[in-house]
Amino acid sequence: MHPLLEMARNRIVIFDGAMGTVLMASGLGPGESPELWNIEKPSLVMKIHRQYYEAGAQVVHTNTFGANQFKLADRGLSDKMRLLNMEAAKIARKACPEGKFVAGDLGPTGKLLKPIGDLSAEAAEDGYHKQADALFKGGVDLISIETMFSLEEALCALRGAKKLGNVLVSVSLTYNRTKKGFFTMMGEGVEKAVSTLEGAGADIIGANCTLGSKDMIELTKELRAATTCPILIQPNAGQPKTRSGITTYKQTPSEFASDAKQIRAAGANMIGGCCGTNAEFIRELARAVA
Amino acid sequence: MADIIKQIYNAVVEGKVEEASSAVQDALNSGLEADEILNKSLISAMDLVGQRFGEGEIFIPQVLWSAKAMQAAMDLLKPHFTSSRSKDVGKVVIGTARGDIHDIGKNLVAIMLEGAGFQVIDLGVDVEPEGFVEKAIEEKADVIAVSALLTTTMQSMGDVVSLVKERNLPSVKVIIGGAPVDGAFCEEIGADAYGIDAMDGVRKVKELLSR
Repeated sequence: MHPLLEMARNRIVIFDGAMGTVLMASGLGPGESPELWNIEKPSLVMKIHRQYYEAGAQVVHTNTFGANQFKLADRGLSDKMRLLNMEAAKIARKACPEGKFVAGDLGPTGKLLKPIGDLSAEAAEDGYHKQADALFKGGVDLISIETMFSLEEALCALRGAKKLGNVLVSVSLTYNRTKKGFFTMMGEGVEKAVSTLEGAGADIIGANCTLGSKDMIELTKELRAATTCPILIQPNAGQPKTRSGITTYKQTPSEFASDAKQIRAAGANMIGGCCGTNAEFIRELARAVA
Repeated sequence: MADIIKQIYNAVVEGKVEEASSAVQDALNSGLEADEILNKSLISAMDLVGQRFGEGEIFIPQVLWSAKAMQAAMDLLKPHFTSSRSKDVGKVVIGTARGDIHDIGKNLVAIMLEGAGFQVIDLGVDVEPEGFVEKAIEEKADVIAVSALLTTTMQSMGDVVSLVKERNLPSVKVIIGGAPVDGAFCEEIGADAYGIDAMDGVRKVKELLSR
């Protein structure tokens, strides 16, 4: 058994928080590519990883959310795909203490698959395969597919990663809460998504982004009812709450952490943070659910 | 005559691109006015699609197919609109707010606006307020549309509004959208409108331009 799954059998596993919003807070300018910092400012990226490990994370994600060849092409960086992913993996590996883990992050292509869009499933799968390969060459322990709003695209990433052989892959979709329940943007419900992903060999099933920690409690219950796989939940922070029709306000780390307790009680095995979270959120989270 | 209108309406609602095109071609051949086809079938079809989407009965793929059918129909109709009607209903500069890289919602709105006949200039993600305003001036756009997912990035929407006022561009309307945006926030920053979802955004843009 993969040592991460073994850890998850015995305890709640803490994942890291956001990378993108933290990089912005560290001076990443508008229009700059976060992935480029893997070669331009590696020590800064490493510092962020270290802060998450020190805050109590057992797993951090590489700074490669947008480092697939399709997204990079939009920035004119597709020739750097392999380099950016390998370097990102090396940076995280170097920051990673003994006994902890590095997850190679795969994010959406930003394109729609055929026939609605122009990208073929084969091309998407191949692109993800190459990205996952570069991440493993750089030293990651597992692949973490995140923020997928299309089940079909998530499957492309899963198949692409699994082509490398017996590697551990987590697949996390992003759900919207509608009047009729939780659905991906493309209209896939929880049960269908989970059974499809499990059938295709996903080792960890998750949900991240879009929803804040409150909504994630409910979603976790539904995921738990649908699967026996380990569940990874990474809510956003900074989602607004409307009180009597006015005021939006930012969620504090301790509010986030208290929701995380309920997410754990609802059946999550692994919890981290998505957009808007930082090391402080992860520290409170680790304290609350440990 | 009513049949062919109904046929176009159904093809757009069901997102059947080729059927929509051929029915529109038939309608034009039979002597129907382009304006009539637009008003009696296409617009009401997209309204129904928007309503179903809002109710959670259909999802993005269905909406996109309907938008594609609408677009195909519009391509056929455009050369036939009477001169009193401008060929483009309006020009929109769109992008996500400074610091925000979440572009799903923005992309949807862009597609839906195009489907509704607008000319859309997509500035992509993480756009500075100056970027929106300068492009709007350069392109003589009617509307600036800003999208944000995070409470931290939505603040820059206010900067876009201020900059439009500073540059004295009363003809340029600002519409905002995204999960954290609500009526109170829209009012607070003085934006002209906000969209609850993609369809509502398109509706609001139409309203802004018909004033």
